[in-house]
Parts: sequence; structure tokens; C-alpha cells
Amino acid sequence: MAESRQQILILHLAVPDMGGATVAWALYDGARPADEQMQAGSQSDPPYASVLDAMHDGWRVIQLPSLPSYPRGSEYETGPLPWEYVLERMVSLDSTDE
Amino acid sequence: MNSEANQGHLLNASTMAKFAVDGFVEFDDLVPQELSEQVHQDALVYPANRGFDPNLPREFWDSSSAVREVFGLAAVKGVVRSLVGPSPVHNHSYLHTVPPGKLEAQRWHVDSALAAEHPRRFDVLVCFFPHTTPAEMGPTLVLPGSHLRRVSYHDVTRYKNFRGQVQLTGGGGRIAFMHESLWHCAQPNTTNNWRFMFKIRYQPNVPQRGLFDVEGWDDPEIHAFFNDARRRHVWVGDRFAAMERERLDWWRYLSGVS
Repeated sequence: MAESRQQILILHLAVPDMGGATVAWALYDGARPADEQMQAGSQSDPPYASVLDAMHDGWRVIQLPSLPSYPRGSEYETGPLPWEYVLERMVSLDSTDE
Repeated sequence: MNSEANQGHLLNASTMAKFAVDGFVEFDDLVPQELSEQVHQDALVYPANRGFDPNLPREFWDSSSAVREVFGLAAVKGVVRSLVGPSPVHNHSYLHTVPPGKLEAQRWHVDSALAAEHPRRFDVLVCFFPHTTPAEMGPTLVLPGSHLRRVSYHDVTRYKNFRGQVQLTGGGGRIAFMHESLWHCAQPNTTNNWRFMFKIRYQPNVPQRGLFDVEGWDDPEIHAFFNDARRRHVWVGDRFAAMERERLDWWRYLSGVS
């Protein structure tokens, strides 16, 4: 039985709707060595148009972002990207195709 | 970008608006080619890649009269004055390098912790590129508009790619002036040559309001440009309304009217 490893795909959407457009993305691949990981600035187009699009390709969603609350006085504060979805899939070491 | 700073030395309202929207402005016509080439030669003979020494916070600056001449140019000083006012503090400077064949990108980061008065109180990072830097040579990568987000140094390292990220590629002699909170990182260098970028961090000694040529600050063209950021900064998503309000408040402050 082939060993398997986890791939983590992080998609940031324009809106909380899981069909919303991907605006940022990162892949952390447990099946590849450190020097073969996705690099900052390496891609100009996302691998999936949305979280839903990635689900159609077999990715499992393992974290959904909480919807916001707005304490009075900080309604217009912005920080990191809010609509961050974490997805995973397991791949066997002899069939990594990402 | 053609530079009106070459005439009056202070940035005009439309260029300052670009800084407010994108978090940086870049010029390719402030520094004579021969001077850029001299800085490049000085960089080539400078001991390479030994890291920043906090006890020598301006080592390349002290070693290169050419780089000091670049930052003494009236046009360059005019842009600096427009952003941080007269007599700013040269906090530190450093000759950044990407060695030939370095295939790992730097992580996304910002060069600041959260300032209490963000974005109003900011240092400016002045990045001088003495030689032509194509995409394959490790140019600086920036995310336009990111300076308005409240994050600290390495909070953004998990990110890898954004729609709208921009590599600062181009010819030698370019200078980019960045807000300290702009997200950025160096890129891989697949060439056989060293990539150099000299960066100075200037701190203001005065409140940063009314420092540029504010004529026309409230013109319809300025507001149309602000409104267009929603289309250009796709990565912002549905947070555009909060950022627009933050930017407008800051713009009124920068322009000296609030």
C-alpha cells in the first residue's frame, strides 16, 4: 500500500460565498520537498476560480472563515484577507500530480 | 512614469494620489544613467551577501559616493520631502542582493510593526535599482494597495500569490518610494548575475500633511482615480468600502484639510 501525504490548498475569496472569485491562493504540498513548494509571486492566475470549483476537483474543505462581527469604532479596520478557506486532499507518494 | 518632480521637485496631487492608492510610486527618469552605472559598479565590488549589521546601519551608503549623489539629487529629495517632510531621519540603509541562481523567493512581509497612527504616520522606503532588472532576475514583488491593511511584519508570510501582484521590473536607475506597510518580497534570480537594490528608510520629523503640491487635491479626476482602485485591486474583494473610507480620511489628512 502506497504511503500518502497531505496537500493543503488555501483559497482567499472576494466574498464569503464559496462560489465567490479566488483573489489569493497558496499550496503547501506534503508530497514535495521544501525546495519544490509554491513560491511567492510564482503564479498570476489561481488554480481554481472558487472553492466550489476546487471541491468539484476532489478537494475537501477543512476550514471555513467565521463571519465578521464589527465592534463599534472598528467597523473600517482591515487586516489580513478575511475569506480564507483551507482545503486538503491526500495523495499517494507515487502519484503526485499537483 | 514621467516625473513632474523634475520641475517643481514636489509631487503633484495626481502622483501623490497614486501613492495613496497603491502604496508606492516609481520613477525611471530621476537619476542620470551614468550615475546609476557607477552605483552598480560600486555594488559589484562591495563585499557581497554578508547580511545587515545593525552596528553598521549605513555601510554601503558610507562606501559609495555615487549612491550618496543619487539621494542628493534635487528631484529625489523633492519626492522624499513630499512624503516625509524636511530633514527626515536616515534610519538605516542597506544594499539588498539576490545572488545568481537563488531559486527561492523571499516570503511576503512588511517592513513595520503596526503604527498607532497607521496609515497617517509612516516611514518611506526608497528603493533604488541601479541596473536593469528583468522578471527572471529577482525584482521586488509588491501588492498594490496593501499598505492600508493593518498587519505586522511577518503576518502575511502564509500567502503566496495574489491577483494584481506586481513585479517591479524595468531599466536601471529606477527609484520606487514605498509606504512602510506595503506588502512586498524579493523574487528568485535565475540569471548568472547579482541583483542589487539599495534601500533607505526615512523617518519623518513632522506630521505628514500638506507636504506635497496639494493644488487640485479635490479635483474630480482624483476621486475618479480613487474609485477606480476597486477595479484595479481585485484582491481586496468586498472590503473595498472600508478601504475607500480609510483612504479618503487619510487623503484629506495628507492634503492638509483635516
